[in-house]
Amino acid sequence: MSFSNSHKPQSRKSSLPQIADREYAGPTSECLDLSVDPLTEEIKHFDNYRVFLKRNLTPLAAPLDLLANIEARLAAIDAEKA
Amino acid sequence: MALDNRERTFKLEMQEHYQIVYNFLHRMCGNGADAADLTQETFVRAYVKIDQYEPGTNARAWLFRLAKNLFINDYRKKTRRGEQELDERVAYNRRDEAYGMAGFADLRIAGAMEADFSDEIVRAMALLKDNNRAIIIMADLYDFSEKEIAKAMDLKLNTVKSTTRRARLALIERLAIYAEDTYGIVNTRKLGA
Repeated sequence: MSFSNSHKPQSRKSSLPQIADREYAGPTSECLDLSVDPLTEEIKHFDNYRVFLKRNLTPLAAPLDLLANIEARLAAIDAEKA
Repeated sequence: MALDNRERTFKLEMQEHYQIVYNFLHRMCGNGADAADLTQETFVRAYVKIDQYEPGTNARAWLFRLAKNLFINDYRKKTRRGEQELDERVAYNRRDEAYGMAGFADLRIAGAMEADFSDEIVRAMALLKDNNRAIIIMADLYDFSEKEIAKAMDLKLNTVKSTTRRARLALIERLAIYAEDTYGIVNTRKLGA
């Protein structure tokens, strides 16, 4: 299976999904097309794919003390050498 | 006191990347505590090996290379020796298969781009090979150039493109398999058709 609706490129925004059994209650903007060109094996709508990934894998907050811990480790290395 | 060359290079070029290195390692190993430990080790290694870095080149790619090698050579070896593994791969295997996911069916209807599928993508990513996952993170989350990926992954530039393409296809395929396994979504269209 795929998430593709690439066989209906002319009506991507207005067409109903083949597998949906209910109305989507969320925002009614752009749908996602992760179809792949069979000849080039490239993602057809690469920008959408990348936006989709970035929106769903947002930056994770580093521990507040991480930088301080790194600096402490480096200071210990310097102290050993001194 | 004036900084010596090593300290200066480190502070000017390396230190600012600690959060992105942490993020990369978090996405690789799947938990924050191990990611923080690995980030510390990455920067310690960078500090010790700073003479191997040419100032003004590409600190981010160099750090990712160190981080990736640490993850694969040290972290994976430890986990393979039977130490407690808490990454997402294990979490995925332990999870309740009946977990009520929001619905991959929604992916092809209006609004899917704005919907939250982060958990599903993390699970699909965790099932990729380590190198594929690393490439996806670098290329598609952090906009690494092919040259940067080549440097970080120890790959020749002319192999990066095909490897990156395969990694993306693997991720999409994982998402598709997951949707089918979870929902029994039947669709006769093949990937890429």
